[in-house]
Amino acid sequence: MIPAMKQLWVFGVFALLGLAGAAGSSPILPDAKLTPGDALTSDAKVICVPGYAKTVRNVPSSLKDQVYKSYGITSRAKGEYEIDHLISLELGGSDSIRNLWPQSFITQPLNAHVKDKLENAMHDLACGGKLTFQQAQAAIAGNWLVAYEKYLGPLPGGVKSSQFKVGAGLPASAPVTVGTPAVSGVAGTIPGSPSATGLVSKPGVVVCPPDKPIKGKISKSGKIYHLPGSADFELTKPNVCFATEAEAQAAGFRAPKR
Amino acid sequence: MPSNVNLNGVNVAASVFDATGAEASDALRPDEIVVIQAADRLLKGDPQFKASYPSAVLERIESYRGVGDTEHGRYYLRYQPASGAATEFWAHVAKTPSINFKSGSVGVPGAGSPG
Repeated sequence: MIPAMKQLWVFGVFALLGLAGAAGSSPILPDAKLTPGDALTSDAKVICVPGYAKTVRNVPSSLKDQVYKSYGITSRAKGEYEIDHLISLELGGSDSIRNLWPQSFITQPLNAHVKDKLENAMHDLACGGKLTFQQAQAAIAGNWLVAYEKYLGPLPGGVKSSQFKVGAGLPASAPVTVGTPAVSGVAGTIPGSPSATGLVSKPGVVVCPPDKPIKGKISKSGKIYHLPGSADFELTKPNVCFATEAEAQAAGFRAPKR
Repeated sequence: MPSNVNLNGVNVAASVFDATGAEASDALRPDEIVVIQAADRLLKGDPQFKASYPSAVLERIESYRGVGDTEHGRYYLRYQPASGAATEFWAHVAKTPSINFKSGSVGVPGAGSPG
């Protein structure tokens, strides 16, 4: 049981695509303009050979950096993201930038691990002749959340694909929470409604709710919290929000060095 | 949208992505064409490439202007062999020509490179 005082209410950071990119937050769905998806092959005789995905080369790190940049992610913690192939290699996806986007490992309940599960299932279905690779590629590139519901069943955490928009705008409701590797044991609450999250978000801006006004930021510099009115407060794009300094410190965050 | 460009006598679908990573309507610059053509020639003249990808045709290239000219991944090259799956290489400007088949990186001297 997690003590209520230690629960970290965190806010959803949604792919506003252009907007999410501007906010530098974790997209749940890729920006359809930046990442429409791209396939190298849809030939089952090629893709279904065991080990095929390993024959596709790795994406150069400089290109990964470009992808992060295009999504407005200028800093990240180790293990926070991966550069995901929207059409996965095991579904015949390519290494083109058209097929790459930063996907969070730590957003809850939707993250890279959830999509991996879908990719494995779709690969098995396609290799089993239940659908073609063209169908699989179109489905996962169109909206992987919809594809998950179609081929695997309900999304984890009770969220629905209809709560998310592809390409632009905030999700209609879609309460998704963000955890961090260091606080994963206490984060990841799934509020039942936007009001429950206290999320205050508008195009290009993500702010902490009034009852959790302290911004927690995870970057290469570490886990740092910023108090309202402090020097970097306005410019900080938070990963997590806290009610008190004590709460932030308990989660491993520190004040900025001055 | 991709445009067709003639590279070493073959029409290839070419796309340019600007510094933000978004696809641009720009055409390839002459210096970019020099690098891509040099990489293509280097690959097609390589015995291992010829053996691994018989009769491979360069069918698509992408130029990522947000990536430094000398960084791996600056250019994306997709080849379609006579049979089997397409394969991908990455070209960049380097002092000396080189191919790394494991990573797919291809280094070639750029337009302004000496010698």
